[in-house]
Amino acid sequence: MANTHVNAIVVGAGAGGGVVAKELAEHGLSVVLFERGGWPDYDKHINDELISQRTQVLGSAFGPDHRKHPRVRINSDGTKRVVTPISGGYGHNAACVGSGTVSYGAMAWRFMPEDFILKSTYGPVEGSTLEDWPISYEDLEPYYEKAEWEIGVSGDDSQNPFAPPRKKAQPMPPFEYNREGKVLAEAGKRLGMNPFPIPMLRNSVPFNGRPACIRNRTCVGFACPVDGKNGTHNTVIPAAMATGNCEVRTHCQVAEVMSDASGRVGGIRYFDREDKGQVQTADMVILAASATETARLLLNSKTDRHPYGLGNNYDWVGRNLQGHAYTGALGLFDFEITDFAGPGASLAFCDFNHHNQGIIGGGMLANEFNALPYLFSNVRPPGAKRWGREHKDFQMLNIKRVGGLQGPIQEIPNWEARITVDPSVKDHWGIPVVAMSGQRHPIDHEHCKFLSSKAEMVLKEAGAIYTWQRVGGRGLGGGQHQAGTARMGNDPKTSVCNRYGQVHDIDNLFVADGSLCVTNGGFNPVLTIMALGYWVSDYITNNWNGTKFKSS
Amino acid sequence: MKLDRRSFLRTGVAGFGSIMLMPSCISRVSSAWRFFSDEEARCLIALCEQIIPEDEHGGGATEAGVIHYIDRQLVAVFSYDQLIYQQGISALQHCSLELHGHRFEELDMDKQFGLCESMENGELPAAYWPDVDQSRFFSLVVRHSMQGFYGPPRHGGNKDYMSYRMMDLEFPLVVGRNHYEHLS
Repeated sequence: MANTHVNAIVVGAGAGGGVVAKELAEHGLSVVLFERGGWPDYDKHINDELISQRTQVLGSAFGPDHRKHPRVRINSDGTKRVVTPISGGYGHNAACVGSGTVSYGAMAWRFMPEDFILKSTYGPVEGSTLEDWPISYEDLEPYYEKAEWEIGVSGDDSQNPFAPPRKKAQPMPPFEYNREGKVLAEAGKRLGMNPFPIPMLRNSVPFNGRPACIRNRTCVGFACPVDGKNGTHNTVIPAAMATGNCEVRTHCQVAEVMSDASGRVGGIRYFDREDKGQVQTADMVILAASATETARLLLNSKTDRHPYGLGNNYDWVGRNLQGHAYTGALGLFDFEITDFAGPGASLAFCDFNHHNQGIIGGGMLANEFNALPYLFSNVRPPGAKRWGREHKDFQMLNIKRVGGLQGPIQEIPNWEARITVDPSVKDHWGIPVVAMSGQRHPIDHEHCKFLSSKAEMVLKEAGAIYTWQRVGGRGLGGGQHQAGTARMGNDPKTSVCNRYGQVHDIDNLFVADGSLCVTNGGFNPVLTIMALGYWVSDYITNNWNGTKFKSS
Repeated sequence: MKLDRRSFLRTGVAGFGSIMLMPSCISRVSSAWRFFSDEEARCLIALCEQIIPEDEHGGGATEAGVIHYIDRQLVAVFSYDQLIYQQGISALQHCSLELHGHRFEELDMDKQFGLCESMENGELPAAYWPDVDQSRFFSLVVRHSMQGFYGPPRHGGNKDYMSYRMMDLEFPLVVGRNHYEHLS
């Protein structure tokens, strides 16, 4: 039996898609929210480090299934290899209702005003596709606020002198520092820096009918056993369903967006949970499948009118892939600096995000999420033995004595870091898969060295008996912070979507995930993706006349 | 490291653990291998014990059952690594017999350690490694040993959370704050 026509299809139930589904459903549109994974199930994956979303050794707790979702990695010499979610090099992001917001560390950053105007603040960068966003921080500010209050953020920006202006405080008080946070905050203060507690999408007090965080050691990489961590799966998506206007259709793999001779889209073709081919028609389609999978969908949706895929008339779909090089330093202390109060990260500095001599952008520094034992077995100073007695000795003596600071460096986007599709490699359903190629702009590595040296400076001041830097390299971005592959812009020749996330020449096709981000900030991007979800939804609902989408 | 009551107790446990390492124990469990032959398993057990040896902190890879972890995963998630294990173990045995006149597991600890270091650095005679890169094989076994020793017991290794005990971590991993007495 054919599916009933609906007003809107949203592809991907993550940070962006969950928000859009709820906003549209609340405005009376009928919505089907498609998700390739299922509902997250805490009980199935309790505390298993080898199947955590952070360490995908034996599988991913929240998907994607490594048996069904291969990708291709194209090396710099042109050779390629097939990768899976457990093989490394995959650019992994969770595939379940809520996606990464189920198992993330939940940092709730607003980008800074400069993050939207990087090019005009610092000037052009040779060999890059650096561009300003077509929207400003002021444009997005009300939507950040909405995300903070509807999904739930703990924090206090008044302690951060670099915090962007806001109209309303975050809804919950900030978390206290853990032991490592206290030690490093004091050291930072002595150096004239400005420590403050990290804003978090976790409950510092009971909020929205759910309890406060219990400081679980196994937080990041896992679902919360008490539901004190806020994602779209336990906030906006249930709210969307409660309207009666939104159906969440799980275990469905979307294959392509269908469009007619006029170029407008009319629905999607997908495979249902029994792997049966299906069609769902709608008045509009909103893609929020992540920067890699949204780009793949656009590229796989070829017609005579769009021979290179939807939105791809000027070859911009899939370009500018970003995903943050993490960079920082670690220090060995002669006391137990770690108390394993979850999630681990509690303290941040924004002293190095902008306006540092010779640095374009920069990045936030924070202490690290708890390293579980297997992860820690890879944490060693350079030159240390990777096995044997010495390795084991370090593990036993030091798992609680290593502290660190690290952060995501603001990437300078480039044309060759990209997503394509590989027609010769198919997924479980026969759909051509994502191929990733290129590398980061060389300047990123210089910026990483800068931030790592600052991190090391704080650790030394804190009394570390030995310190070493971990400097981010030039490897291709992707992963949980993936961004940039369907960038927004005012010029259709140099972007995929307009300032409202609407694909330039297709008025009823939208993007509402990290793909839109022109640049990716020196921060974890999830709150920005949520805010973009509200921003795009606002435009859609303002142009919905009650029965049809007003074509522009 | 200060020798408090806890580390004294741990040393005691380690001493007991070493008794459990007698060869009779190993052959008794060998009937359960899913992938390895008894011969391959004996070699790999010795190799893993070099990677994570028994020491003053407590037992090593053998006592933790790292081989059970690897054996189990090789017929499941790591099935694509089956060949490299067979080829790697066979090459290592070949080297050991040619260079030292004994099988790897029969060598003394120092000789085993020396072979491991050479293997890690790709310095064993290339003629013995026609099918597999020796340092790649070694780093694979290192990675899997770490997973088996430090990962959760439910996958076959880290018997009774022994590595967690050695690190003085609560086990199973604690849910909630009640165990964190130092928390602010």
